[in-house]
Amino acid sequence: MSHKDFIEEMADLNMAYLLLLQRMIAEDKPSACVKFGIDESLADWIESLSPTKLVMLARSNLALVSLRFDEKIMKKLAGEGPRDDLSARLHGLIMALKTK
Amino acid sequence: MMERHNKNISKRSAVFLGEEIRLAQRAFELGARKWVVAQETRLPEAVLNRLMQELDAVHIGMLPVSLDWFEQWEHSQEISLFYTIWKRFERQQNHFLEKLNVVYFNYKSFFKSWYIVPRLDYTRAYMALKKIERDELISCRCSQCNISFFTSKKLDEKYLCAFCKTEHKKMTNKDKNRMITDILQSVGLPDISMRYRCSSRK
Repeated sequence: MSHKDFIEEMADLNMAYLLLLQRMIAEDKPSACVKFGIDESLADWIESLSPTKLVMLARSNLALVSLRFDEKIMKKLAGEGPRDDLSARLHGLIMALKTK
Repeated sequence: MMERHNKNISKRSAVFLGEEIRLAQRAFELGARKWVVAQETRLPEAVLNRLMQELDAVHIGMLPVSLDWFEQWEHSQEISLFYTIWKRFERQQNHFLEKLNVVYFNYKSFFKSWYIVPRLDYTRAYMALKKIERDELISCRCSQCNISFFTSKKLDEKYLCAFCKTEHKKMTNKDKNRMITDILQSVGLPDISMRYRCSSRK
């Protein structure tokens, strides 16, 4: 059994996430807030972060990305429904946007 | 200095006009009809015509104003999605058209990732918003998923939306047959013989 701790991969994921978030905030802040589910003050803070701070944050040994929605919404977003994929996804999307 | 500069910007100033032209351009790019932009901006008709000509926007007229279109289930669910996004942006921008542009762009981007064209176009979305504002479309909350949908009549408190209804409904043979026909049509095959159809008879 391997005992890999995935710390490097997690740091890469965090870095990719933060960079994308920073770019999206710079381009279109309101859209970034909706898509990432963050509030405006957090968006402002992330936008102001220097590259050094970003690296430090990314290497915090924890995954900064987490699943935002509960199981019910996630299943719908994946298109799991009794009838129609699109309906399930649309339903999931509205529910997800309402939560955050 | 900035404050003095802002005070000088009246609604007839060149700066305000330039801002409105930029917003109108964005609206046309998103598929707005001329009357929507004319209603929400102070731009003269000649400017709008020239803008449309330069952007190759298609000149199309009014849409029917009846409520029937908005009440169809397929359209109603998209209005609900649009309005959910609208609610999040409601207090953010000053100019109505700017807000509408941002919300419609976001709304459209969800469908883009699914490779589907949304049924609710820019103008319909604008009309839906106005109808909600005028209380012609009333919000009805689903008792199960708590999402608001819009109808012209007030529904009872135990209202269950079609999303939640289909979850409880067992698939009948008729539904299965319809699904088979849809799949066959989507891959370009003819609707083959009846012996493959689902039936309760053995």
